[in-house]
Amino acid sequence: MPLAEAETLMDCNLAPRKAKTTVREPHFQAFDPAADLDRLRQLAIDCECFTPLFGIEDAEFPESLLLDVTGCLHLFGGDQDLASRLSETFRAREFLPRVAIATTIGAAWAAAHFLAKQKSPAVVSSSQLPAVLPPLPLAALRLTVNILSVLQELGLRTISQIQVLPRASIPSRFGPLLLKRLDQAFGDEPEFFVAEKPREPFAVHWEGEFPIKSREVLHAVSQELLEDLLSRLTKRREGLRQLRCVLRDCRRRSYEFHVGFTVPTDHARHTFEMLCLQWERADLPDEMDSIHLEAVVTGSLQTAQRDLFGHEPGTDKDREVVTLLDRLSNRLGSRTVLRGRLLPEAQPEVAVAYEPCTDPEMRTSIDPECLKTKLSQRPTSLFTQPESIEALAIAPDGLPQSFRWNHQEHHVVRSWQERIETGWWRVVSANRDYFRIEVHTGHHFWIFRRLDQQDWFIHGTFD
Amino acid sequence: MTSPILAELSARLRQLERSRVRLVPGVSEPSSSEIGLHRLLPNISSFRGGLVEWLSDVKGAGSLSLAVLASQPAVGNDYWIFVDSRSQLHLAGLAALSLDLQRLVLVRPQRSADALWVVEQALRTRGVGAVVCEFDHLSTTSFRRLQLAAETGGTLGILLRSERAQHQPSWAEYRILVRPLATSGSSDPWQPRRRLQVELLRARKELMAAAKLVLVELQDADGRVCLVSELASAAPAVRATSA
Repeated sequence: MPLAEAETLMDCNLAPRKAKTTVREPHFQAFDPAADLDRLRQLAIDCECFTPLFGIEDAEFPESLLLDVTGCLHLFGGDQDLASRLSETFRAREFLPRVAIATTIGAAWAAAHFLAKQKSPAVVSSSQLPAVLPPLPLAALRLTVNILSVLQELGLRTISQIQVLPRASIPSRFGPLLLKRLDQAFGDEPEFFVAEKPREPFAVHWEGEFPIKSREVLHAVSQELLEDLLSRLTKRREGLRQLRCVLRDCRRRSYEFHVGFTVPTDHARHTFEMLCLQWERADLPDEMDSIHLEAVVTGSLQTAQRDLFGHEPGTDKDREVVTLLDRLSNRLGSRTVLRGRLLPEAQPEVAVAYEPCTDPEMRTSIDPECLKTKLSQRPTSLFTQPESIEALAIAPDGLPQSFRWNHQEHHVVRSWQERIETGWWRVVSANRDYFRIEVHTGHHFWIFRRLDQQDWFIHGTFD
Repeated sequence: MTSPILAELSARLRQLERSRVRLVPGVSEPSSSEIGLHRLLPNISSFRGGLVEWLSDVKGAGSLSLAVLASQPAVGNDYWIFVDSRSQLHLAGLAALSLDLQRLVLVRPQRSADALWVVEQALRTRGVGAVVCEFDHLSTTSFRRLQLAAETGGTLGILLRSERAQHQPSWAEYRILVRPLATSGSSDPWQPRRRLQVELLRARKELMAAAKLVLVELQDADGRVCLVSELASAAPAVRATSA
């Protein structure tokens, strides 16, 4: 759905409600099928604790996880208990799952979509299939929109209505898919899914007979481990995005370090340099028993050939910048080195999102041309907290003639006004009249008046 | 026998070497009518490999905007690093200065020592076009280190400092004082503009500065810096331009 359309829908649906209830902040994100697929695959992999065979449905835009729980039910106390546990696991991660267990993939899909509720999973045994499936709508057979619309035009709405049709005439009238799905749902035709394979964790470990007592030895062992780790990654054409290093001393105390990289890297020297930057700022023990290095996030090395924020293939100069950002991030902390992106928000506090340069997720900024707000009205410096000022205005709703800030009296010469109001559903809403003002000394400030309280604040300066 | 073209080129080369100013290849000089600063500092639009100090008194004076706009031709497509120790820089305001946000990095160090280290590291990096930072106090040694780092990396260091710093020793190539002035004439309700008095306090080498002081008008809507007419009010001039 286009972002603008989503926003308008939100406005239309929420604006008429006058009740002052606080609901969760709406979050808009661009549709990204590839990212959705990756997340769904990851969710499937997370189900490894329930069964060794897990995957996702074969569809244009898959949205269902498939688990083959054959032979696993007794481990969880039966199918009902397993379904409940699956449901609870996903609810704990803030998903709203619909869980169903059935003897065929088609029946499980239909039951999950049309029988299961969020807190009550559906379990359909093989003996129940002939009774449970027929009353369900035809959409439960995973048909395409075209077939469904043809069936609907003919007045066919439930599976039972298809079952009474002569089988031989169905493929010629509606195509082969309808009969195939029908047979798959009732178990008359086998159906398989491609099981996802959990990725092999990239980790190397060293545990010596004698503890490491000097920095030189620590460096030498770590470098060797890093080279081993990176060579394994390189074989799969992958590079490091995030490295986890755990050092353990003789008392079994752990010292954990997370090293982030702006782009995937396979350079052992660079990686080791970044690790050392973190060690330098930590109070390391004198003796160490074990070293554990793990590639937490990896990325394709093909993308490593691109420059910092996903532009055209980078040059030497761009690679130098990447090295610089890695160095700054690992010495000062990833939250210190940031890239920003504009959001379609009028409220200045939330109009910009700042993300670490080493953040593996690449989000693009909205085009400034598409913003409703005029950027020229925005100050170059924005205070974290607006500062209260004493303003003198002639009219109650008018512009202040003068105000006092920073121990100085400022007389307003001219102003440019803008009203910023955000929705009542916001946790922190803003109803403000903003003024970009020029004072008698020529300085430009950004002040606002709260419409409900009628008090004045300075929020930024045009430096 | 040397051709006149070669002689002219060698003369220009000598002049550049004397001034130790690096010209960025492929960067076209702005016209003097478009960029008012060009009259004050002919080389500012192509200067890299050194530091420029921009002094102003308090917040809201416009020195940051002017410094960024004046340095954009020199930076070109390279990266901008903003060292924001106060965590106050607002990206929306910076985007209004026509900066490419994909090539802008914000560093927010907690300690002043870290800030100095960041600036030095960034200035040494070739792919970085400009490093913008704010320093109230800068020791001579640190100043010299930054200047050498900028020379090594061929980058531009933009130091935003208080007006009080004008009496302190400097290793910057230019020291520029920016003072805001109240604008005259009627104001356009949609296009904020501001007037600034820009004074070249110091240039390390003999540069081609044609004036020591100019009045410029900064139009925030399109990020233009125009020279204010010395004979007439700026308001009619602006109207005539837009007509």
